[in-house]
Amino acid sequence: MTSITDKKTANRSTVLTNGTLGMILFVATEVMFFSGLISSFIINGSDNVGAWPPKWQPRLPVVNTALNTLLLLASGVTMYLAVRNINKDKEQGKISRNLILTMILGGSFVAIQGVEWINLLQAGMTSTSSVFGAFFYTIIGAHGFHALMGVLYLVYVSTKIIKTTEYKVKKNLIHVLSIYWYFVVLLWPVLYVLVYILPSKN
Amino acid sequence: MSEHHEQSFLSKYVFSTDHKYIARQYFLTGVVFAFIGGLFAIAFRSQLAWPGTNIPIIGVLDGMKYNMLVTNHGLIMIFWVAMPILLAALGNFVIPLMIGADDMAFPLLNMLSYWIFLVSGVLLVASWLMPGGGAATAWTMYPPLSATQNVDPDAGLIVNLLTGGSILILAVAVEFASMLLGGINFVVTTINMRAKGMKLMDVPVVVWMLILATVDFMFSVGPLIAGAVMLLFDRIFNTGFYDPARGGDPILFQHLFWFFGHPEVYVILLPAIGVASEIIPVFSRKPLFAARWQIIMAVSSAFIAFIVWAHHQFVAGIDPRMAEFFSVATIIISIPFTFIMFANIATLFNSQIELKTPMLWALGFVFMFLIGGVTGIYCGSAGFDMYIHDSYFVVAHFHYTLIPATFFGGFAAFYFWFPKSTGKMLGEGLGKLHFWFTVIGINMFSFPLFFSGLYGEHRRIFNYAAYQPMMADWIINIRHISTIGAMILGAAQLIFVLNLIISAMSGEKAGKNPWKSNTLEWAAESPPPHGNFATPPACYRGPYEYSNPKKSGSDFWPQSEQ
Repeated sequence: MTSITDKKTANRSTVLTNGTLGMILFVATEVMFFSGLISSFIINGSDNVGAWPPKWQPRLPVVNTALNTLLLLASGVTMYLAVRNINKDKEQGKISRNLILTMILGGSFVAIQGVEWINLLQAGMTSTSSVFGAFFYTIIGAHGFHALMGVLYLVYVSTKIIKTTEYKVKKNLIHVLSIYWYFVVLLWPVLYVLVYILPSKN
Repeated sequence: MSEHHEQSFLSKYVFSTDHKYIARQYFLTGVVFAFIGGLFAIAFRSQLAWPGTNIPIIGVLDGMKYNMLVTNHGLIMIFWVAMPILLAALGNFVIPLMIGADDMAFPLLNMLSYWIFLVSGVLLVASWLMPGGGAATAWTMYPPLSATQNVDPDAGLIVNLLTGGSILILAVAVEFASMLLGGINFVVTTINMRAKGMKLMDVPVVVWMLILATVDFMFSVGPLIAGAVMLLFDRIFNTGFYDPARGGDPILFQHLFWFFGHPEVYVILLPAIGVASEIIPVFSRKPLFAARWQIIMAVSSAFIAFIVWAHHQFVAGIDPRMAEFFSVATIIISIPFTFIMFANIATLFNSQIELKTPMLWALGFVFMFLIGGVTGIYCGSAGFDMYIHDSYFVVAHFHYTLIPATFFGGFAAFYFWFPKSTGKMLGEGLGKLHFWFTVIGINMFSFPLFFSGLYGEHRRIFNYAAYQPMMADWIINIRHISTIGAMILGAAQLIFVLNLIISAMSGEKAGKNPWKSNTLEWAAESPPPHGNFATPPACYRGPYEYSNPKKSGSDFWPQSEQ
């Protein structure tokens, strides 16, 4: 979204910049996409009473993922700090440090998820072993894909910020990015509770 | 704003970021697909009327080929004709001009949106060429058929990906991505880039309707993409989302599909209604009746659109209590649309109607759509729907809603804004001929189907020879009349092409404002240059100030005039 710099709005002052508004709309459609997946998962789970996840399937790594969740939440905090820094117009090094921290935390989240997937696959849970597995890989995979895209987006914005000199452009880039990253961060706890914790109680 | 310079051929016509040229690209692509989809329809209607007839190029249809044509006719007409023409082309052309902006908020995204759309069209055509042929699952793509057709669970991912059904899902998904980019552009542009002084209620009704349609699309498409992803995974990764034998649920897809599929009807309908509301005041020289209430009603219908979807599933075994809720919601949603239709008719009261071509199409839309709308109330009642479900009554009903919206709304808009877009007028005589032949075509094609549908003719049968009650003389006659009507509808569009060619060669020059209309786009040159307005226009009043006694000297009062 931000690769396209805002056109100057000719003759009216706006509450939100074009980029911010566009990203909010995009995130709204993404929320609807995940709502579709999540409600399908819940409905399908309620069809499979007592066997969700099926008994012959490995349990999900609830504790490890809880730690991983903390990593992602921390990246949300550093993103917030990066936004605050740019709003206060502090020196540029500080902005980049928080951004780079976000990048590292987000990147580690994706990497740890990848390792967990390999473990689960080796333990015998695949997309074809049960519908639960299919839902698990689709929903968590969709989130992982968004997180990965978010990390790439962070890299893109960081390089762009180094090259740009205009303050307004930098500020807008960070603001638009932050909306997307907050979406990735805040969606995760919802998925964690619905996919990891609630089914494991059955 | 002012530093727009001359562009090269490539950047002006091909990789254009100018909203007006992107609108043309969408329109032309849509027209090409409309002819393909129309020919498909004529082909399978010929099979119905004269079973076993040899159709040029395609040959004699068997059941599979017939299903393939029906499936792709539906998909093409909705996703590659109605959406690009009524939403993308119309929205791209009118939104920036009518709100007084120089272009869309994200011109580059706009260009990208068209090229992604073109890729989706290429994927659609490619899906017909895959081994086993194109998808033959009806346009709704219900599993388990759509999850298994031409799929070999033992074959690899690539083999199953290169099948008609899988490529089709990709094509539809890519098309949605394109419309999503376009939609974000529409909403941001309208919110952030309106002319100075243009309050929300000064925004013309057609722009309101386009935005509501876009919002409906954006909020409903997510669940369908989720459902489509799961369907694609069922096909290529051999997952069992929709396979009851493995704990899946085929009805789930119907819910995800129709959660999008029904709002999609309003995505197509709302812009067409907006066009009628825009054109009728211009040619009756009267303010639009209850303009503010039309907007309020449209907003309410855009909300209700999200709670009517399961009326497509009354016979799918859903809970009867749920069916009751969806019946009531469906009948409630007809209230706002009835209001808007009657407000448009009330605009005509006591006015001097000029029956120019755009007005004919707009009135045609209102009256044809009323037939579709009224029969919709029948279809929405669960009890009645169980009887007519999947019969030709339903086919007639939705063709009476979608053809008026896509064709009548689309042509009304085209004849109305063509002078602005090209600077030339279209022939009035040929335009009227085109209109009347289209009216004859649609009524001859659709109306008789109500009767055969009520008699019990089922829509998914390609040859009725085995069903003796369906071979009565009068039903066979109805099939003939309907097919000939479809052919007339198709042939009438050639008049339109002729009109375009004549206008391009020797069309009368259109001035800035040939229809004496109020909205901002008529303050720009015809055709508007890159950047649209010489000076950014300001807006001083609402868009429908016709025959205002306070204005002396003329019966219209442009929004940009102080």
